[in-house]
Amino acid sequence: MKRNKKVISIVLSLLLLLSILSGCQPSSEAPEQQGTEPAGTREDKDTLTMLSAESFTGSWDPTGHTILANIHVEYIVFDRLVNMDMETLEIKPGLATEWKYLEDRVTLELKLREGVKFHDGTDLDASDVAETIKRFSDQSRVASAWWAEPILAEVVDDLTVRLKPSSGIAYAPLINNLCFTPILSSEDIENEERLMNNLNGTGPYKFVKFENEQCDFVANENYWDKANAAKVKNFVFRYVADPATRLAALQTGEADIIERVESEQVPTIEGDPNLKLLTVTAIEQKNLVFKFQMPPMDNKLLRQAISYAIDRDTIVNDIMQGYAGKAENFISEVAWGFAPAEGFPTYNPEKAKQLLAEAGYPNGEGLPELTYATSVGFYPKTKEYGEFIVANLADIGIKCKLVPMETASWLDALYQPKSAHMIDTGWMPPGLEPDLTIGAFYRSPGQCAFCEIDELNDILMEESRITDGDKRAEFLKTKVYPMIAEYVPHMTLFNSVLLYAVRSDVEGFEPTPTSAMPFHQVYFK
Amino acid sequence: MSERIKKVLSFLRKNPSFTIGLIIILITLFIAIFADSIVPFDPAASSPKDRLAPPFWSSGAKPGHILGTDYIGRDLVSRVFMGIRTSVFISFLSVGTAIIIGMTVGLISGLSHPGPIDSILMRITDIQMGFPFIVLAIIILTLVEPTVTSCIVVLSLASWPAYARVLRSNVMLEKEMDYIAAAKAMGASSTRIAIKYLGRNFLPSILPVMPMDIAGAIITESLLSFMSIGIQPPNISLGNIMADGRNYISTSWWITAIPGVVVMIIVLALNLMGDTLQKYFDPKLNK
Amino acid sequence: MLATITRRILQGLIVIIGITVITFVMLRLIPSDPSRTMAPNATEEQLMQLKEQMGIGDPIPTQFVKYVKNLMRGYMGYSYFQKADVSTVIAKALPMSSILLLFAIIIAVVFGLLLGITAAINSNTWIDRLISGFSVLFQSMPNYWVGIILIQIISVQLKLLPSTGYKGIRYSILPSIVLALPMTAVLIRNIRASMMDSINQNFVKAAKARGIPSWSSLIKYSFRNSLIPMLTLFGTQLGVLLGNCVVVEYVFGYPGIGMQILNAIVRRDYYLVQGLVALLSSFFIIVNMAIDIGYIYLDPRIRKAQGGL
Repeated sequence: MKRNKKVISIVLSLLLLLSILSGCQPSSEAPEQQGTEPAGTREDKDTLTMLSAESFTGSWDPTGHTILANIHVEYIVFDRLVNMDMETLEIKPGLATEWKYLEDRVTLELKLREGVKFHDGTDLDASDVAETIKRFSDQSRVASAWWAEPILAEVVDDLTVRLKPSSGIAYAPLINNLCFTPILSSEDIENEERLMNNLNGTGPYKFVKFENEQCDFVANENYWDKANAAKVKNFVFRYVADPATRLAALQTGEADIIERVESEQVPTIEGDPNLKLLTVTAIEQKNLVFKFQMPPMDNKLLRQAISYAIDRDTIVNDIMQGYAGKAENFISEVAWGFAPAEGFPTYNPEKAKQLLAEAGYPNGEGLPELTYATSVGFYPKTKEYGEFIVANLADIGIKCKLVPMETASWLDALYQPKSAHMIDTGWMPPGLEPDLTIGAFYRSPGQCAFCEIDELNDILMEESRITDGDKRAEFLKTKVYPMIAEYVPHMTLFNSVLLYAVRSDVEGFEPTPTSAMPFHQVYFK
Repeated sequence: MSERIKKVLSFLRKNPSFTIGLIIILITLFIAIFADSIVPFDPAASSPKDRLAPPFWSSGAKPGHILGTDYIGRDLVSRVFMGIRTSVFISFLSVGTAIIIGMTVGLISGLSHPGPIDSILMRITDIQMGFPFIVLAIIILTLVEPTVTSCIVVLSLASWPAYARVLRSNVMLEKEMDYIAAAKAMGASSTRIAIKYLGRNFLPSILPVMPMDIAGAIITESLLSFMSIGIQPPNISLGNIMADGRNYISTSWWITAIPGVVVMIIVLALNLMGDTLQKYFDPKLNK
Repeated sequence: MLATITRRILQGLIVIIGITVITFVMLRLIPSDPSRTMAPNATEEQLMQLKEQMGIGDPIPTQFVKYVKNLMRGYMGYSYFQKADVSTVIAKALPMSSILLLFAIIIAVVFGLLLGITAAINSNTWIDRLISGFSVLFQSMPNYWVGIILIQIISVQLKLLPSTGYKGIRYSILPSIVLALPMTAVLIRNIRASMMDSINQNFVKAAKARGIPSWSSLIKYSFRNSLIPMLTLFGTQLGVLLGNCVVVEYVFGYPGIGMQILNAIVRRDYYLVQGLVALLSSFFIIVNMAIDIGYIYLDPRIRKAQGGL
């Protein structure tokens, strides 16, 4: 009998809890006004805190990885020889004040800025540049993924350096690649231990320490470019895996900038007067890669059929809720040399059926069940549009099974030739140079797809030797893109849109298509 | 027969908290079994115009959607019902599996005590208990595809050692009892004896623990799918719904809050039942 | 008795070794490896080179022998992702989690005793029922869910306490409250039960009859009386507590052992996972072993009855 009242008290407390919860609700309708100064977090305004969705990798050696979190901090610790204006695609001076091709149209000569010092106090000279470029393009280094061949570097004098592809043939992407290649100190390169344990650059922020998934930086007071010197004294770059935790930290003021905001979080951010949303169309595209070594994916017509069966507009508008850009080529619209690709597959189920029949599988007869691997918790909405694509394929008679995978397992599957028939991936090259994408995916052996298409390989080699920008762009448009569209080693689903949220007192934060973030330009209002 | 029913009824009358728990569990089971016929909407059907509708007591609620909708306008009641089905199915079966594993291990161990088999089995039990469960669960669910079956197996790992230990000590105690010695003297094998007298002590000792273990399994299941290492969409689990809703929590709290409250109510009911059973079977506590 | 204790310690050692072996093998069975997570698009040769660097290039048995040899020398390996020895990573993360656990235990014990005793003293009044009701309720709420809800209410809406990371002791408050809740609930119920037990003891009845209805002596007595059950409870709750700690750290982005272990699994940071699992399970096993030995010491009856275990 005594228990009766216990039950009542439980019900009462339940109601209490619910009422507390309901109490939270009005705040969504009427934006909250209270507490401009959040919970004891910002004692002073000389620290900028950024929460990263990706964690650092172990090696600080910029040539030892292709991890975005590291690339992001390298961007503010190091300088580059030249920089690309992300809008006009114009190349501007960085550590190099002038550059020109020599008469052979193959060798690039660069003049370096005088009086630039590394954070450890040593002077920048031509040997630093030479050693850096050699190391980056050394095909045994992981970051050589961006370089098709080793680059030879010659020191002419203290401030003059000459770069030449080892094949002796012109390499058009060279100058564009210099726009994202951080210049390291040759003393560090000689001593690998130092390179791996420290970030020593010439950039606006100095590396202080790395501890507990957090990287601390302090402004470089002797930065050579006074106009672009860091505006906030301390900068903290911290890894927080969970998107909801990142947003909560931004809301409480514990963080100033967060990346990889999910489209679901947008209403919350827009409803909060303390927060701002920033978006930018990325160089990154999301792709459905066909694994050539998994028959029947080596069948060109089957790949075409699948590509025509995917309703990409619905994915962009409904599933991605508009936070994605419609793809019209196998490179993003922000890339250098972009033009809509002729013959780029569009949604056309009738044509898809016809192609499927031509491929030898009328209405999917005789086709085994295909596996479609995708990652979970890494890219937004992969499962949602994965389900949708599976339904699209079912419409034309292709049976397909979605296999969601934990991130590390998916990464492994991505770079294994026979892990699945199709696999979802994204590709965020560090620069706007198109070869960083099409070269990586289609030059034999193409990454992820493991395709070896001689015709495509040859035309890509030819393209990369045209050093005249206009001619190269024309060649890409008329020759290269249509051929990729015919072979479709992977189907591009959409251009990624990067979503950032910042506190409303954060000014000067301009996200870029390559996801490099110029934190040194940020200041507090 | 009627005598027995009377006894049960009087037990229920005397223990209203057990009765309430039982009623909630019966309702839960009903929902779990008939989920697909009683859901008001297709739990997978999105309707963008109704998205993020609040529950009925808030202004702006959409008629029909009693507990509101999620971010693509799927009805929350329907999704919660399907989630209950998944959670209940997985947790009941996982505890069942745990009992079977635990009984087998405990029986073999108890019968072979003292001996090397007993020692080995007990060390395995210790290893299982000493291994941080959540870590083990993550590793196993990365190793094998997270399906309903693998989730059941993983969850059963959490609770089998306890059953094994209880059964083992029961078997050991029984083996030493006088009447067993007598039966032995009369030529019965120790295995038969142990099985025969099993019911005497084993059932009362596991019955009160069972509801608590099921409750634990429900919480862990929802946790695993919340961390997106458990049941994967499009399968609906209460943890999945909470995880989906987390991005909207400051504007649409109900998507995360309601499945949590549902988990809480089910676990509460199981705890109430377990409490009563514990007091019933352990007279020391029954004061 | 010494023999029993020695056997216990030996058994504990076997279990820790078993757990280490299982972790070691399972980690290498799951797809992907640290070289892949460090440089996803590296070529096979580059991966091999990385693996050599990381000391995971050899066949699994060779790796294991090396690992054990290193362990003997007190070296737990190197975390390439943290750029530090595993022991250094642990040394930094352990205090974080210890603060959390310590706070949680203090909260649980203080409120458990306070509310448990209050409930027992006022048994069968509305106070008792309210306390008992709340304790069942708190025990029934999923830990991670409470965390999310509290972050919303306390941090985001009311802006009372910070919610993520660690920059000072304030950051430990909210997670430790969440961690303490279920344990408090269990303690309340157990303390109430053992108090009720004492109240009904003849000794207390006699004391009352003699006209010394002193609650303080009663509390003193029952507290002493409930020490053994509380010890047992702590042993069984420890596993739950450690598990919850991982989850709570995940929800709060709190940089302790739990967060490290989750990140390490995601990145396949083999040696760090091994070190952390060994740490957690050793802690669990040693505490339980100590409790067992404590029993043997405290209670001669158990000494006899437990001969078999």
